[in-house]
Amino acid sequence: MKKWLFLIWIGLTFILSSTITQAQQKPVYGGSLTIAQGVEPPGLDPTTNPSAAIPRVIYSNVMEGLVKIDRDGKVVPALAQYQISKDGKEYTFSLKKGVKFHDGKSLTSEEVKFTFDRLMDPKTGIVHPEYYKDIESIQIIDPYTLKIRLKNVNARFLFNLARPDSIIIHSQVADKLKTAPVGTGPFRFVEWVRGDRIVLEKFGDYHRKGLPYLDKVTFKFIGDPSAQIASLRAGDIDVIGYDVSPENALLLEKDPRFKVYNGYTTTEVILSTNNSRKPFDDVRVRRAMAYAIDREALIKGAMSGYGTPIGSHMDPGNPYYIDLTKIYPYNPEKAKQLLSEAGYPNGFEAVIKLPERFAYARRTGEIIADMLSKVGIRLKIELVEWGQWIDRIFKNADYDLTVIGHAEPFDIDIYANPKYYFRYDNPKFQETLKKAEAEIHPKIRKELYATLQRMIAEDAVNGFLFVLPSLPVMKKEVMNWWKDYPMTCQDVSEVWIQK
Amino acid sequence: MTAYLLKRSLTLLITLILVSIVIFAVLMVLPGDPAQIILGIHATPESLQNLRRQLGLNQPILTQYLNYMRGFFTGDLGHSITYEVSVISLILQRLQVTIPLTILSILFAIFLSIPSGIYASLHRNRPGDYGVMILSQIGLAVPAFWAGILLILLFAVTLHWFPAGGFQSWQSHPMGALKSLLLPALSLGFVRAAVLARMTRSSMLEVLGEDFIRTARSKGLPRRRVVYKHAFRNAIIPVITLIGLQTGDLLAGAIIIENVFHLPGVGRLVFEAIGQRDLPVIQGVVLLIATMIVVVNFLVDLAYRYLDPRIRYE
Amino acid sequence: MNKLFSPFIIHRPFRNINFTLGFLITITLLFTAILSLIYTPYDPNRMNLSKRFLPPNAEHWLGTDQYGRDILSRVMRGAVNSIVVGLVAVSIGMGFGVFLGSLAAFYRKWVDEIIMRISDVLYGFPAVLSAILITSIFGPGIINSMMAIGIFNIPIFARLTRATSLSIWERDYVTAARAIGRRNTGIIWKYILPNILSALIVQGTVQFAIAILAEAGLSYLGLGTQPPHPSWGRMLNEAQTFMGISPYLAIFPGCAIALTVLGLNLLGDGLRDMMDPKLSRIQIRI
Repeated sequence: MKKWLFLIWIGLTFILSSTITQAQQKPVYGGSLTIAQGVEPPGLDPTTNPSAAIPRVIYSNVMEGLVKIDRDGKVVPALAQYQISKDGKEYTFSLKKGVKFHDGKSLTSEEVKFTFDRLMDPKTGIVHPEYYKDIESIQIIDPYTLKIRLKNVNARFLFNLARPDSIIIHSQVADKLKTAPVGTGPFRFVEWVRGDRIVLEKFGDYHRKGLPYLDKVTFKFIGDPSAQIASLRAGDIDVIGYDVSPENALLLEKDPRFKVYNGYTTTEVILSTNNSRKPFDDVRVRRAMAYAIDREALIKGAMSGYGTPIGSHMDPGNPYYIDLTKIYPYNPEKAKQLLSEAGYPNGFEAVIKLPERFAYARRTGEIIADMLSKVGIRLKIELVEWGQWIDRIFKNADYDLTVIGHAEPFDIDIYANPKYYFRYDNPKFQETLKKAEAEIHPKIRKELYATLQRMIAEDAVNGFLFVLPSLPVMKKEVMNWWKDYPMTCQDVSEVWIQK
Repeated sequence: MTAYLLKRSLTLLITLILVSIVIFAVLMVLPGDPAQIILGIHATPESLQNLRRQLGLNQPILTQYLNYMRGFFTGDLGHSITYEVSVISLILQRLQVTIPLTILSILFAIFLSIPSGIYASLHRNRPGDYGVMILSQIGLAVPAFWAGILLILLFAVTLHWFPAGGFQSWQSHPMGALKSLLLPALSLGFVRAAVLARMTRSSMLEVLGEDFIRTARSKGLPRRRVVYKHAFRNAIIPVITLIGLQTGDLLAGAIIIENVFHLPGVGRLVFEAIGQRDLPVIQGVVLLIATMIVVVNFLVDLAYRYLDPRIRYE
Repeated sequence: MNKLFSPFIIHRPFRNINFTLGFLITITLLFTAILSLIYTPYDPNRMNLSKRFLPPNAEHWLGTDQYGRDILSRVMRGAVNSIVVGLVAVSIGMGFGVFLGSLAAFYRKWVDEIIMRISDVLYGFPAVLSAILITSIFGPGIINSMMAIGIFNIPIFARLTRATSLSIWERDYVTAARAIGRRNTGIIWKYILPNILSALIVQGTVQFAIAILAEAGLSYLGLGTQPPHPSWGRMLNEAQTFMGISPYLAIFPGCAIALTVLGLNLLGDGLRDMMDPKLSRIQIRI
């Protein structure tokens, strides 16, 4: 018996160590990488334009912030170490020494102050002023130290500093941000051929010693998914980082030349429910729906099996994430029973409005309609075009049910807004969120966020379904690409190509 | 003639103005706020207001219309909201796909239809005629987009001879670009050919039955010569007219076919622009298509009158 | 009775091969549609996620789709959808078109001019583009796409009605009827409409086919019939996504469209041959 266990143990270590050695193979320097990107960025300034195409090119590659999100979704130092004062309102940043911008200028506190002054200047017209609204003052202590003081405790402040919006720039190059950005990243901007590609090259003076491995990185703009795949097959590109459909991923996975990562993103796909409408104002009805949805079958049917189930509004990459998928196991009988208790022994009729533009939402909605019909909830499907979805559903909450993915990382605070289109008004949740955001102690804060997740899960505010898979597809030789996407970017600083 | 031309040109202008007003009105009632669509669901009220101002969406409707028409006549159709480039450059870029596609499909249609139409007319009620007529019935019945899907299934998915869709730019891969237009042009051209073959056949039959053909034959002219010099020349007039009148159909067909093959043409542009509420692009493309159709119809009309002296000027 | 007024006195219609074939196909289509309302092998909308992408087999004759639904049942039920769209679109087009065309032929002058100019604009504009615009204002859906297709049938019937009835107004018996003081509406009902009826029926058959094609196109673009209701065009759209996994999905709905349109076109050709060989029909537009 013991022998057996031993053998299994040996076997396991062997498998584990082989996967580890594969990941830890010695990186090779040199080579050039071409990444297909669906949307061409409308300018390269992520602070004044919300397009996700911008950070996907420049964030962590050309431009960096004080802190960043690592592969596991944790906030880690990038250009600076940080310390937070006891009252949680004062952040002291000690800048890394020897950091150079691509134009040769060294990074000092001046540049950081300039960056935040610019972000807080209403004339700059940034997309998300709310990220910086709590800043009271920025004070330079010495060339490598500065203090940011907040008006009130904001637990999400550090996370906001890790967003592409908070990239550090210096004053001489601020006006070039849109067209030819100059940053501190591992790659230097070379050229942008409009309508075709953006080229970056290795920056020799990069502050993380030994990085990057690649000599050249090209972002090639190919608007169409099938054309992207054709180019990958033809060998013109090496990686498709975003937006590969599950069907195509399935086909490419079978091709020995390519590999596909089934990682997670920050996009929670949920069955949004109008909590102010009958019969969805009854928690028993919402719970019945939760019991009636078989997440595994749903992911198989709608996403060809790609995707990670969730039980609340938090992606598994978030440090505060807790697994709540077991609260409502698939149980149609229980669902019917709850419906009877709520006064709908024969079920009821409702409308589910699905955004036509997103295949994942459409398919998820169709399958949910079928699953709910098995417990007596008859849904009429209406496909609405994206403009109408935003107008009628998101802005005016004119809907019963819908399916949509919430892409913003760490956005559980939307449940504290009773006017948000879920129309979920729970004063206890709102209080707890305030407490969590103002909490300094990391452990208590973590518990508070866990409580929040549990609260909306127990209330079954929405149907919590799955997070969208990342599905980057690349040639076998491309190593060290990020499997999960906890932040909107395609960080290639550690990527290398096997010879 | 001059009076007629003047009258027609005036109607042309009025039609175009009417069309522009209708399009503008339609877009005004399109639900959905472009600013909100750009910023998505995480937008704040301030950022929305900023963007609306940038886009000029807070001006009165009449001002917007007049500004727009002023731009239209000076070749400025505004800026695309999603792509942030001028609409004209966007359309010109997309026309690089749609125009070759249209021309290619017309060529396919002509090469398929006119010889077979003539052949059928000369072999009336014989097996060859029936063969052509059966094929053309099938051509009329098969939707172009399904023909496209079947071609993809055969040539791309099974045989891997052609890409399943997408487009490589003319500048970097001229042959690749041409190759990616072949299947879509074929699927559009096949349907078009069915109509043209029938038209050619019936027009030929009509002409062949006329007196001057019989006279030419009885004068002892060789059959080939009569068919190609006399009959065909006359029979082709209505066929050419039909080709011209089909511009609208072709553009409409292109919208669907460009979606089937994921071609970045004008049709796909407008289809996507509607989804993204990119008003300047929708206006620009629809107005452009309408203008093209009205102008082409006008030219066809003139050409028809020029070619066929039997038609009087009103 | 005069020659044009002949649809009801066709002798031995089945000697015409076009008519016979077209009639058979159309009847089969109608039968399938009616049958599918009472019986289909499986519930056309019921999913079975453990039976996805089955190729044709003994249980599912035409296989199953990405949700494990039975394709045969969906193709059968799709016939209802196509027939309803065709009927409504042609009725809208014929109703308004005949009315406007009669007005134009009767009043001539500026009434004629205005009606014909508007119909020119409508006629020249690609129906698909307008349908896309209409559905993006009123929302996609079967009703709106029927309306959109119907509207673009109006100028076709208006032109046809005007062209055919103009000459009938000149005929002796109409002049005579006017001379003895018959009211104009009476004349239209008694003399004009019966005489243009055969032309309208032929054109109606053809427009029916075109409406089915147009609906398939709109549904393919996602603007027509809404899920889960089966529509041939929409089935093709979804089939294209999964073509690499299951090519069967792309075959059968397309066959159904092509066969239906073929049947209607043949029927129209046959009717035209029998009623009046010289009757010209307005060219096919898709």
